[in-house]
Amino acid sequence: MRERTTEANNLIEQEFLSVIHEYERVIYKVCYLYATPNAPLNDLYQDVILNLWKAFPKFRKECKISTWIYRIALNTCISFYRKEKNVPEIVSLTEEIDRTVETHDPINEMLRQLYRMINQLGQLDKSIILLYLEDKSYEEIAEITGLTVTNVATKLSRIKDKLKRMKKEE
Amino acid sequence: MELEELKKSWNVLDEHLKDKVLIKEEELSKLIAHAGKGIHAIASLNIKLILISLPVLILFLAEVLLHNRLNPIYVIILLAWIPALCWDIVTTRFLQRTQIDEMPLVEVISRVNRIHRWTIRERLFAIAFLLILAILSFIYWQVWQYGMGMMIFFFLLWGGGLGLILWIYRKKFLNRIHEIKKNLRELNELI
Repeated sequence: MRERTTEANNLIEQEFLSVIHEYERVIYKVCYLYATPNAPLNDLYQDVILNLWKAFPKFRKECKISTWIYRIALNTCISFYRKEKNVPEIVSLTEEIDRTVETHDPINEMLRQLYRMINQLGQLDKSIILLYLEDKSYEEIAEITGLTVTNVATKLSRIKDKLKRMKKEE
Repeated sequence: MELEELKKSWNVLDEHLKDKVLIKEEELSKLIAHAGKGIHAIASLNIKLILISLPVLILFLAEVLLHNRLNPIYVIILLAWIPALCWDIVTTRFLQRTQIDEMPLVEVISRVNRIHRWTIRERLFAIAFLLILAILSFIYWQVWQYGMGMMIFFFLLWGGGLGLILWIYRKKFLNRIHEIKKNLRELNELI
């Protein structure tokens, strides 16, 4: 009986690991946008993985797995409280992009600018723009955030205006 | 920078991450082995407080009833203690039911905002209640009759108690919620 349970647990773990490998870039990108000196990328990434793992057995496949992953990743990043860490740092990302890069590196300069622009937005706007950049439809953005489709469209148009204003002010 | 330009930069990030192993499998396995603990830190603290206050309440009741010390001050304490305990159970259940994995962002935000409002009101009630209790007990026991030493002890005791309670509230509840709310402040208009 115990063997069967262990086997089932191993199967769940394997399935989970393959999901994480498939979506690790998505998780990384969400954490990348929400990382701050108080909530470092590694800590955020670790917390998202932990919350995904805890929720994985309950995932009923009522929505797409990507929707489920975005929802948990965004909720975790927004409600992240660093001092309340239950787990010591175990995971260290093999690929961490430095945001304080030298300006002559064109890729990093583009990313730095992207990060700076998006970080001037509010938390919800940030999540909407992130989902938009990830090519999610308005319906999917609405499903993930809990807003209505109309609200998503209005918000996106306001974000566009905000970005234009930011550009002018620079 | 407009949305299309942002998209270009985003694709750069995507390209940059392509074919890269971001996390080692053995680290992932080690991490999920640590996943036993809950994330509802405030709810767990509430449960701890309930568990501590229950035996204290029973001892207090036993002391009052067995030694027949039922006086107006103890009655007030008991009348406040029991509903406070029930309220704690309600808020704990509310926090436990806040499932960040199942609820959409807006719902999580609305729940955090609600618990923040509750915590502020709770703190105001606690301060008002303790101040009233301090004044009533000062009058009831006519503390001034026992001299200056006793009066200083009385004020220090109540001041210390009030300070401790406020410190617990600030450190364990409000600071945590503020930290979360700081991220959510601009979303108030949506809720």
